[in-house]
Amino acid sequence: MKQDLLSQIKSAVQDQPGWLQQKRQLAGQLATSLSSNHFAKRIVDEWQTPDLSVVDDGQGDCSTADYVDLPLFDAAHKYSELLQENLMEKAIFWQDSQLNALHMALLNGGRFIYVPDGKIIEKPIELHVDCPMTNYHNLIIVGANAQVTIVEQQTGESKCPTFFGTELLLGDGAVLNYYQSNHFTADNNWQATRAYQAADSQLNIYTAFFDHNDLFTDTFTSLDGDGSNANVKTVAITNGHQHQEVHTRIDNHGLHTDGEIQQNGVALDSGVLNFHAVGKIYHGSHESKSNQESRLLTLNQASRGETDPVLLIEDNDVDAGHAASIGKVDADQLYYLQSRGLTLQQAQILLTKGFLLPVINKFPDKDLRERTQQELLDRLEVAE
Amino acid sequence: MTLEVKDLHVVVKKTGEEILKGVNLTIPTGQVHAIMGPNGNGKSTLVSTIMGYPAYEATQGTVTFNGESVLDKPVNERAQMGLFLGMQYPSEIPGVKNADFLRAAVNATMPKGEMMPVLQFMQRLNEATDLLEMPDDITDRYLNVGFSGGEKKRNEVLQMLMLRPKLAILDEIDSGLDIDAMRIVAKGINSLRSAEFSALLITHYERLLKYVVPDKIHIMVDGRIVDNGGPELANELEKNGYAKYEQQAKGEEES
Repeated sequence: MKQDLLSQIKSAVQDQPGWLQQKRQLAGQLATSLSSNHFAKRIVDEWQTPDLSVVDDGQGDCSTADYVDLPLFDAAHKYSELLQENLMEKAIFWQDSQLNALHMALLNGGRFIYVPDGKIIEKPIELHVDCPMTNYHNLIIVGANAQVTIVEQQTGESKCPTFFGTELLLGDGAVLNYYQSNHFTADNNWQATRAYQAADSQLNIYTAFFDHNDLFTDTFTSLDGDGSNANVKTVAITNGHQHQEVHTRIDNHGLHTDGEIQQNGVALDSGVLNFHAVGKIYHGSHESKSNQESRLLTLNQASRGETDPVLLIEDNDVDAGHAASIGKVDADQLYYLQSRGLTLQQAQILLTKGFLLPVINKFPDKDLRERTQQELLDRLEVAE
Repeated sequence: MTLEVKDLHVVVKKTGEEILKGVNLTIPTGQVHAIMGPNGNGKSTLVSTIMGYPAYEATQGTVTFNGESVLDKPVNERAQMGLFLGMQYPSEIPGVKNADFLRAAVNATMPKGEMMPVLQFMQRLNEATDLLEMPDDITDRYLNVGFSGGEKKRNEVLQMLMLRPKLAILDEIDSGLDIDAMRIVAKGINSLRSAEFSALLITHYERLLKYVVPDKIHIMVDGRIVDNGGPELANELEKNGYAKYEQQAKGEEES
């Protein structure tokens, strides 16, 4: 079985540059010697007979005079050195876990976006794909002092657990606004969005976890350069028997770096929604900030949620704080709304909107804010 | 649309304590009635039971509206029948804008499948906030969050004006209001008075009844209606208080 998979990988990577061929085969071998946590194991176990063909997103080369936007495997030829140096090397590490190694080995495609130094891109770059295979990976490099907004709205169409990986690499003074709202088909899925930030770079991540399948999310950024800052805003809904594990982490390495996490989520029916937030300030990153706020609302007796706020502070001269709460809608509030004619479901929808909109309303781009508001309404229709 | 309460007995679900001990009450269409009585004698329990507050349970008797049984219906369907309860302690609901809530409520109480056009809704809302002398931004605020006591009461009346119920029950809508605010609230109630609208006011002061003159007053003591009369009954109560009724009730219990 194992040999079988490795020979499959070997034949699948034939057309790719030598370094990538080697890396993916090595990753396949490495995966056999690593183990997985519970949630990752559920995914890995179903990747025994993977489809290793290449995704055709139907978009081809979308590059303009100002930036590069290519299918990942095309970019591996055209920008071979850039990818060799960066693909799963700076943010999502291919050797880090069994799941990551397999993701590398079984990769079906993705996009490569490169915004050269100093370019300011006004119009958002949209990443759309209906991906029928399981492993999809975007590599995004924003050069020094470049500015761009990117919108990731991908659909995993496979019935086999899907891993969407996205790496965001920000050069000195780069500004990236990253909107993300993905959907899946398989019962359980993995979404990793990890960033590396150089000095004075600014990353804003706005992400909506509105899918209705089980999901493990891993949103992470490393504030490596002095003066870099990151702001992650997340909204999430679980319903039915859905289970979501939302992990968000910001590491402060540089001096006077600033990491902010705000996440609001609602659990309905028998849904489970757990927020894990970590802010870590490393020794020596003086005058840095790490603040996080996690708010959960459970709407039914059977819905459950946990918030798990963690601050790891190794330096003295910092400003750090966390707030976390889990609210239950109390019976009097529901009675009050129902006494005005609303059904229990209508009342819950109103309360869910009320809980999530304050975060969505902070999304700065008007069109994208309205799009997310609409997605919320669509999601609540499904919840009905 | 007549409300009829017959021999209603109600207990607190948790403790089993009986609060209402056989209430009889009829409110015919087009009339405004008031129930008065000292605190803690079952007035709020009666109206909460009529609306379906989950902490109470009717163990005996019936409540019908327009001949239809009320007590076996879920809370929202009672609102759809045309019942409205202005609450003594309205809930605060963070995140839900007053205007969004009003819009959802108006549509929920329209005939099935119908929605009120936005323009009509806005017009009705403007008229109502003007009548109640409420600031425009009150509808942009979260439902009852950070409202003063008086604002909450006015907001209950605002909801009544928006929903235009067939029977409005107002539970101590006058408590905590200064005289100007009470006049405004009374103006709101009176604006709905018609042959198709009835109201039941719960109060223990006669003050409100000077502005909203009721067709009938009922006195409730110890879980029963112990006396009925015209508006003049309020004046008598102002002079003599409830002592007479309370002694009677005590006497009955002892004998």
